[in-house]
Amino acid sequence: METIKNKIKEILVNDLKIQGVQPSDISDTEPLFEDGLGLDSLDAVELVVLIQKHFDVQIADMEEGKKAFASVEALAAYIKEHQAD
Amino acid sequence: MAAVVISAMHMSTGVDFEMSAELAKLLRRADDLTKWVVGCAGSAFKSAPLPTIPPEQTGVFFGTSFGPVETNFRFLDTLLDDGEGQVSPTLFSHSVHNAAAGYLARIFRIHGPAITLTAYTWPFLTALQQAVMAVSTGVVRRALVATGEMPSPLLADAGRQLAGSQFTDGPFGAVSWIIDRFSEEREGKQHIAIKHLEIDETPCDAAVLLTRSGEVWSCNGRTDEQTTGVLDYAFSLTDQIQKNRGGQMNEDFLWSIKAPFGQARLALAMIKG
Amino acid sequence: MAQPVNKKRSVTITGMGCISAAGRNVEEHFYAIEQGVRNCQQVPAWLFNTQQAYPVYPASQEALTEIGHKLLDTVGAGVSTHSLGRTALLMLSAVAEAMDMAGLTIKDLQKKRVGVAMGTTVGCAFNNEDYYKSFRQGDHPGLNPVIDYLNGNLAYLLQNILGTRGPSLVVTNACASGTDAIGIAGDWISSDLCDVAIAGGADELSRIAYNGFISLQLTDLLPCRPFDRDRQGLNLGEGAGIVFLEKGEDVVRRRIFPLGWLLGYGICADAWHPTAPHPEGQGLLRAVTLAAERAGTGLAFDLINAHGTATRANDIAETNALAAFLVGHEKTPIISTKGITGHTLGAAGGIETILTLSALRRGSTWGTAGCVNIDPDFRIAPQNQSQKIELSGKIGLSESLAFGGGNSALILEAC
Repeated sequence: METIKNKIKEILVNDLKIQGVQPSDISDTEPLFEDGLGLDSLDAVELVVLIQKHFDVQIADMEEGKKAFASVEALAAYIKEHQAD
Repeated sequence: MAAVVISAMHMSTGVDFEMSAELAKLLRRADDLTKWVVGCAGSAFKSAPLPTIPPEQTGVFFGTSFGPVETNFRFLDTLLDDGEGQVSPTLFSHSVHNAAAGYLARIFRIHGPAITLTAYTWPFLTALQQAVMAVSTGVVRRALVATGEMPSPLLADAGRQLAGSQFTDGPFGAVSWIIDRFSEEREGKQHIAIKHLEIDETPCDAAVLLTRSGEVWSCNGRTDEQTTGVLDYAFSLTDQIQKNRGGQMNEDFLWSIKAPFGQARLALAMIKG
Repeated sequence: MAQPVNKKRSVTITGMGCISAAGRNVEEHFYAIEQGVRNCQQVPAWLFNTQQAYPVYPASQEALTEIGHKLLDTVGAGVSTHSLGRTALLMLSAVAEAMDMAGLTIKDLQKKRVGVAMGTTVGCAFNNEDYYKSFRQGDHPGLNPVIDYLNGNLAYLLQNILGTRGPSLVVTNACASGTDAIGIAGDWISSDLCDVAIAGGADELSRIAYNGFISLQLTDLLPCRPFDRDRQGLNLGEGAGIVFLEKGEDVVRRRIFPLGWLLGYGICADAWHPTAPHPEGQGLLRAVTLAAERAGTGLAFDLINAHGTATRANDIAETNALAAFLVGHEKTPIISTKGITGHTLGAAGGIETILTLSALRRGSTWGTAGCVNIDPDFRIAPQNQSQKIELSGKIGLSESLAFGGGNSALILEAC
């Protein structure tokens, strides 16, 4: 779980290029969108592609995505649940 | 029709500005082309007088030959390497030619027209022509006129194959002018007015649109100079005007350019507020 | 036939031509609208190979129509259809039809100052995948694709094919390009920069844009459902829509029937987001207000042809803007024609200008193909597909929204 969380934080900083933070600065429970890390609708669709690329997990639709993108923790749980064994 | 004056100009080859944390945030997804264009426009706005013009009264006219050509290839890389269903939506949305103009409108709060024009000939002059029309007919009071190009290994390779060592790759970067409707309140100061701009394009061998061989400009009838890089015409025009600015521009200023793909002339004159 | 010439009506539309999945000329388009024909299908193999299942609206495989061929034949040697890309061929088909309708020949045009303003998105990008693939492997593939790309600037190309001179530009304002091209050309005519302006847009379906829109999750696996509560996104299309604009007094002198007038143009930036429209449609509201002010028409429109792409965000932003715009005129018929043509990107503004003017000329049109149940969240209700609409007058509005936050509107009056 920790490995997944750390990888997600790296993706947020390196791929989505969130400015002014290091992966280690991001808390597990901080909201990813709007008031939290400030991601928007374009980041959401980019994140779908990145999650598929890095974890081979498909986020089928944005309704599921909304729940999964609540925080690093929620996303890590979603990935863990859907990852093939 | 109201007189149109050039209030500020700036040119840069790459990032020559200090990016604030706020700007870095706004530009986090932007490619080099957009960063250069935004930085260059920021420098031009900084030196432009009349600080408050309503956002609705300002427009942006961006002209480019090749636009975000390499960003399009980065998107294509994701398609070729990762396959369908794995492409980057961010790269796609930034591979359209008007991506830079969208950023300019957002960052500088421009709510009037935002127009991107594409031409292989002189897109900066085409953008200037449209901007002058918009300002002189009262559509807007102020216009940001900009151009920008990014280096492309693919185009450079094609250029070298077509023109050999004659081919000049670059310099790349951006040029921005701020033009305003001339108004009475600008008392006492000298202003550079745009008197006349004419562009006449003629058919030519398509390869020349890339190699630009035979493109020659002259200023006030003096020394013809060769330009071959894609932005050279905009750089040299801006440079000539800036050189003439230090009080010496008493005479009218006539700049003209000729190439196998046509000719263009820009006439300027000093007017007093 | 004497038409009133006044300042408001100085920009006269004398010809129009279009091609898309809905047909190969203006008449076929109107038939498709009347009959609700929706040529929406899986991507045909002749267009490009894909594993994706999102349907598209392809124009006919042969992009150059008979009248387009005739035009090229008149020009004679020097123009080979092989070196012309699909976008250029679509443009030429529409130009030929519009030129014929305007009663102008190439010889006529060569005696005039001719402006060309074309909108495109795909048409300005280097999209030759094979060349790029081989280049990035370190090879030096044959340069023909680069030459074709350099030859492909639509405005420069058309001026050169017709042998005409005058102001010339390609607008690359993404999905609003066609609308902006016509608006700019109208300004040229009213400022007397040219005698005739050829304006509109053209775009072909490309594997690159197709995958791009899919990745943005803006496409529907079913035929698109603009303004419907269940809408899931757009389907891409392709085509061209071209109009000929002339000065009012020239039209009187030439003794031809005008098709209508371009009364006003408005363009305003959202300054909001790279891909999403402002949720309240603020930029669009400013653009339509500006166009109406310039046209001097007030708010009494007989038809509004909306952008109506069928994405969740577009349709809500657009109806929000229209609700704020049409205060006191909430019953104005609002339709989208994307369910007939697909979203033809840079061509959309050109095609929709023509479909708007055609409907106003006939005095009737049909509701939004693909829309069954109007989204109850809208603050103003567009027309759904079951409705035939009798129009009460001749003035309409056609609008476009674009990536980068562009909003553009044209106000048209039919003759």
